[in-house]
Amino acid sequence: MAKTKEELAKQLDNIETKLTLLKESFAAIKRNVRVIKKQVYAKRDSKEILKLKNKIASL
Amino acid sequence: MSEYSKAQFISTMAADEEEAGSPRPEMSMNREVSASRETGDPLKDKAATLEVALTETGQEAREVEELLRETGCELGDGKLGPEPAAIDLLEFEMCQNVDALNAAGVEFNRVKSEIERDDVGPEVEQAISPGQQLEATNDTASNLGKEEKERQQESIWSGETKTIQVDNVNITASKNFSEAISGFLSTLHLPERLYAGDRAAPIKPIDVYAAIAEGLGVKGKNIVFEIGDASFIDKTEDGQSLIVCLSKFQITSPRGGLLDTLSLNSLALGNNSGKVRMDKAAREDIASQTKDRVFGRARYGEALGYQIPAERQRAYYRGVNYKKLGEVAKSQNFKGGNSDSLLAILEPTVWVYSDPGMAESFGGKGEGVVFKLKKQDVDQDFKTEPGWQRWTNNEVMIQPPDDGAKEFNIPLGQYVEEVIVFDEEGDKMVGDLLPDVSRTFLKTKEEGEQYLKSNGEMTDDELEKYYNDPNKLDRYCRPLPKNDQLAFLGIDDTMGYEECRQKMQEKSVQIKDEILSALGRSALDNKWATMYGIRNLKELVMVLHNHEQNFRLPPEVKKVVEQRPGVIVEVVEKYEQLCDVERLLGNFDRQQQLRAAAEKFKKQV
Repeated sequence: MAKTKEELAKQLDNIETKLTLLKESFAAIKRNVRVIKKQVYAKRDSKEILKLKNKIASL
Repeated sequence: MSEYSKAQFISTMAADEEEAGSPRPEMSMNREVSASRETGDPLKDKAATLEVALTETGQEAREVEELLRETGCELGDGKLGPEPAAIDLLEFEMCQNVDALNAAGVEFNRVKSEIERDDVGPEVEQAISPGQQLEATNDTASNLGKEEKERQQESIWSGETKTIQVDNVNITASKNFSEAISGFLSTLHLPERLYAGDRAAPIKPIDVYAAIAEGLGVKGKNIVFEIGDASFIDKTEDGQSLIVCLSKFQITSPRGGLLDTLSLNSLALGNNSGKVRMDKAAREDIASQTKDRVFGRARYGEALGYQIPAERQRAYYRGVNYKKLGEVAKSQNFKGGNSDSLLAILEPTVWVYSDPGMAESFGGKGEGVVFKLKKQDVDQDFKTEPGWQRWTNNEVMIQPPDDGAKEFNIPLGQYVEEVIVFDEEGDKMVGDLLPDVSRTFLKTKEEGEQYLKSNGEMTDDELEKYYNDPNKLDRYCRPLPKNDQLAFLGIDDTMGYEECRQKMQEKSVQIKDEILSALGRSALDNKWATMYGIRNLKELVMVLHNHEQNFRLPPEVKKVVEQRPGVIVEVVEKYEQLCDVERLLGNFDRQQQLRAAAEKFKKQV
């Protein structure tokens, strides 16, 4: 017995839902990558700034 | 749909404030199918739209993977702080996403083929009770089983079978593939998605399938392997055998490590193909048993953790699916049918594959011909379809004519970059077909290995040595810790060496405390430790070792021992744990010394 159109349409809907979630996840990962990079570089910059401040203070 | 729950996919990390209000990603599925492709059939139109969306999602997945890789390289030099660990987590999340995408692709292919068969039944609007629904589902499953098997018969390789034994399990498979399957089942595999610096626990497929067989209640130790365009698993009607259907690639990839462990695990859990007709309890039971079998070695401290060296990356194939390429070949009156995304031409035994594992399998046996195609030209002239078949590559394979191949023309000459032939017949065949294309003739295994070397790839032997050379243990291979709390999915992806090491160091501190406690902490802790300048576990071990070697315990210890006879047993037990710790820390010499000392200590006690 073949599947009904209704069943096949439902399966397509499920796949569509999965793709929607995946796309949302991709977007979230991209955002988080940017956040991480920003944090890493901010930390590095702040360390550099602190070093410079100390150096200036010691002059 | 728990495995696809939103929570699993959406990263839990802090969202970027700047983008908190950014719109959700545009869903291509919502777009209308272009007028030229509209068929008037809502189902077919929907499938067409979804196919586009899948393609786009696959492309996007690759972009995200690339972004993660680039970011990992950019931040991964260790100079900028610990944040790259977060990138690792995102990569792991992405792996799960790609798995889910692959599963969606497989599912879509199946649905699409059913739609295209154009024999869907009438719509059923009749409401049914839960009980009826269950019954109906079972009926459907049963019918689907027959239907699926019939369909599989069309697409899977069929022919003479051979039964072999692997780990005391009878394996029945196509004669042509039995050797490859035997190797596949008995070889420790690493997960597919590994990059330089990754660590992973190996997995032996036979363990997985034996556990699944047990879980499914298969009475005999028999597994029947079928090779087809879908992954499914079931048991025979008589309940005597497990049936496993896998793609050719999963079985024939000779490079090792290309087995997608997560897919295998997913298969075990029944969420990969959707073809496992088991209820939730049965799946959980199988998951539990599989976990026990698969991670048994780790549970007994016998598993090894491999660190993947940079060179290994070359051994991984990451490509796209050249579906159109197959269609071109098919248009040249080659008989055959679509096997999933690939074209399998069974008569006149011309197989056009974009599957490197397949080509290499035959090449490795000195059979057939492997065509390497000009990727850019193929990309340009044939719209490549990314996504689900990410393991495919741009190679075309022709079986040797002694299998009945007739004269044929391959309209691919302009796309051929290189031809590798493995026998005289193949050489002649290609020479006749494509006289202008240069051929590389690899007559022997040595020549093959030389070829791999000259292309910057490691030979199989080199890879084997690479992983098994005890002198390289420090660099590449570490035992994984004993662990009876292993997660079924992802241990191999998540448990890295550093993490193991960290856990072991934590454990060593704990053991040190336990030893001191066993010896009478209040009496010994400060005084004893101070006396011997014990600052860490290693020093404690040294002190214990030296004392036990000479069997002269300090008076304080002797006093405690005399007061608490059982403490020696405790110490011996802890001692053995320390051996494990040393081993897990990679101090193998020290471990052996300790082991010998422990034996001596036990005898003397």
